[in-house]
Amino acid sequence: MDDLGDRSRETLPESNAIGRRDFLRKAAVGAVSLPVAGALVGSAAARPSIRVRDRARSQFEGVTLQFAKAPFGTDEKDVIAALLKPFEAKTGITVRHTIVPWNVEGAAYATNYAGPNPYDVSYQTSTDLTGLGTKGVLEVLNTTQWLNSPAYLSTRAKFIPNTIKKSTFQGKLYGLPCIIGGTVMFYNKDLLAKAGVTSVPTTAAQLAVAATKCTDSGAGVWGFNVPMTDKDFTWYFHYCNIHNRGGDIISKDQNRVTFATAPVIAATQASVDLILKQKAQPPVGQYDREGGVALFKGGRLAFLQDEPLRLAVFRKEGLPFKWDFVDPVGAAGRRTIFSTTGHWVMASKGANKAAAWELTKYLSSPAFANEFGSHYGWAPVRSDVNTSKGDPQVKRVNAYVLKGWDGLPTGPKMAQLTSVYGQAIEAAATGSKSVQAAMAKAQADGTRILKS
Amino acid sequence: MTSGTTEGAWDELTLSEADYRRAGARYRQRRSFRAYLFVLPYFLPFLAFLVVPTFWSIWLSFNQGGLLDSAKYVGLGNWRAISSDTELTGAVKNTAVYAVEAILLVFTLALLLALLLNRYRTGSNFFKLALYIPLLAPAVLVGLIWQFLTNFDFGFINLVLQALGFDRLNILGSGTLALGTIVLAEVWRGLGFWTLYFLASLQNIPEELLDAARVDGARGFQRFRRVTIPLLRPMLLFAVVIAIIANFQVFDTVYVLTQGGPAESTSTLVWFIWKRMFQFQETGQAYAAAVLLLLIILGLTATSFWLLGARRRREA
Repeated sequence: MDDLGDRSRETLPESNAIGRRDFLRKAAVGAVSLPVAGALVGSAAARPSIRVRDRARSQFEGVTLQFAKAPFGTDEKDVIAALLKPFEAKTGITVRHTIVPWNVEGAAYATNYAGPNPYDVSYQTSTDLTGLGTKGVLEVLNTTQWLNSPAYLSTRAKFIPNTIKKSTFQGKLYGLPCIIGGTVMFYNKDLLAKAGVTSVPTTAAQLAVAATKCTDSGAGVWGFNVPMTDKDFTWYFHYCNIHNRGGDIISKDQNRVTFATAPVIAATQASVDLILKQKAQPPVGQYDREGGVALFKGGRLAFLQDEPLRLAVFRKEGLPFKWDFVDPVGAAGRRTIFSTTGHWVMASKGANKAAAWELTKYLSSPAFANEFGSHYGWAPVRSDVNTSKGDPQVKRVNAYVLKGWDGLPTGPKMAQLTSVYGQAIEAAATGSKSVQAAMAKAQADGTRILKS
Repeated sequence: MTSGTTEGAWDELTLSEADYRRAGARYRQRRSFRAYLFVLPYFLPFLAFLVVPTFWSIWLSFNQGGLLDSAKYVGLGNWRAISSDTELTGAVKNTAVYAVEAILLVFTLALLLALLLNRYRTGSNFFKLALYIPLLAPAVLVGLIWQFLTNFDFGFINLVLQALGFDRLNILGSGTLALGTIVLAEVWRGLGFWTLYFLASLQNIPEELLDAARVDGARGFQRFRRVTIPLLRPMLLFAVVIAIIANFQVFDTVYVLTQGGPAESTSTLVWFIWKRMFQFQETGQAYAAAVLLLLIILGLTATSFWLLGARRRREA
């Protein structure tokens, strides 16, 4: 009431002053037009999809997109929600975020994409990207409608060419590369000093010596740990060892598998020896991936090979010892970093593909990728994205990755082939098969899979 | 009214043989129709969710795709692919070993506990409840509990071993122990159910028969072997059939505890199917393996019923 009273006492400017007759005329017009306006609004409400867009801030006002991703951390939903706020405010698009746990992502995505309302935008790694893409559930992005559209060409030029190349299968790109990760080797400086290890190893041979020195089985202290079970994606952590020796698990044309080749056997043998021969690494199954991280955090592990996303956790928790990290050790004069490539993908059956493309572009842009990549320690795939924000540790991760990155070639059978490699590592590292026998079986299994 | 008139009326009421048959058929139809109406609420879902999917799965086992993309007929391609897959051979073997171990162990323990509960009634309700509670826990929770129990550093089993002066065991890192852990987890979960089942069966055995055996001089174990077991046999065989069906479908504990590892030593048939279907999107192979599982279970069930029938035939 006070407000109204105050306003009623304000003096109107001269030009806006109206007489009694004018006032009555305007009131009459208003009285007639209000019901008409009401009817119009009512009819608009009855047909929201048309009318709402007419008066929208953007053409996507009122659109809701389903977005799904396997998380990089327990805080990821909050991180993404905060980063998407400006996008939602600007476009009027509402993004509904579903967390898909890593260990069920295959099942979750398969059942979702089989249904009538698939996730409009989701995150897929190069392992599954082409498997899903070749089944027709993902939109092909390297078309003039999306990635190659004239409006996006200048942005497209900013992508690191190799990431686009590694993610393209038979000329088709099913996702927009957004992240290349890698693994790093964290180390406990205190344990190294205690064991008399004066320099951080740079080769597999040096690592074996240093890890053995640091191992103290009586005190439950281990020299080295890397995930060793297929359950923990062991293949992911060992792939760089193959690349270091100049090999791969599949030929360049993807026509034959190459498990039973010297580089793969040598790489696997070195990993197996750390457990069975040097006994510097816990036996398979004793600690899973999180168990290994817990060992490191508890000061019972000298070297931990894991993803750089642990950086944020270690810094936040403040580990009770001095620690640092380097890129994984090399071999035969090469030191590479392996990772799959993360992609933002769009569902081919999506109801709002134009809106989904808006979201995809935003997720790939510096506005999102700078902060997101920085939070989880991922390296950028675009020259205009900077995930380090001056943070020296993230900057170092990015430098390692950009210098030595050798990623997974995408293909429709890669999920199976990498699992075959994981099974072979597991079999050899448990001692149930020799490395040669495990790789011979992998070769047979892989050949059968490629043929099927 | 004369008697002749009455007889005429009866003649009119008496049906010819053909009329009688027709009336009977109409009556049976009405009766059957009502019965079918009562069965319908069950039969329709049964048809929609079991019969049709079963035949659809059999059809898809001869096709490639069908989940994310359209199905393409490949004949016996999927069957050839899974038959040459060594993981399937291992999975069938692991499932069989698991099922035999789990069924033998749970039945032995459950029968023993049922005998005790049948004999000692004081506080039996408490024990029945205590035994039944694990069954109420979701399988995933059971898996997690056993993950903690088997943990190398702070797991209960290793703490006990250490206290007794033994070395700690890397339980989930050893193929034999990992499969054994899955067996124990499932036994722990199913023990309450089977104990109550056997207890109910034991309580149905006429006391007079046991008394008669006692009078004839039969001792405890002799009475158990000669009277209790033969009378329990029909229930036991039914239990075996149910247990085979349930245990051949073991999945959730495997999923939580080992995911088929280490080195495929705990890979079971359903795990194999799940992996092909959802991890690799090899739907045709997954359907082929699922049909194989169906055939195995059907075969084992038929064998069990045949054994039951053969025994009855001999007794008759």
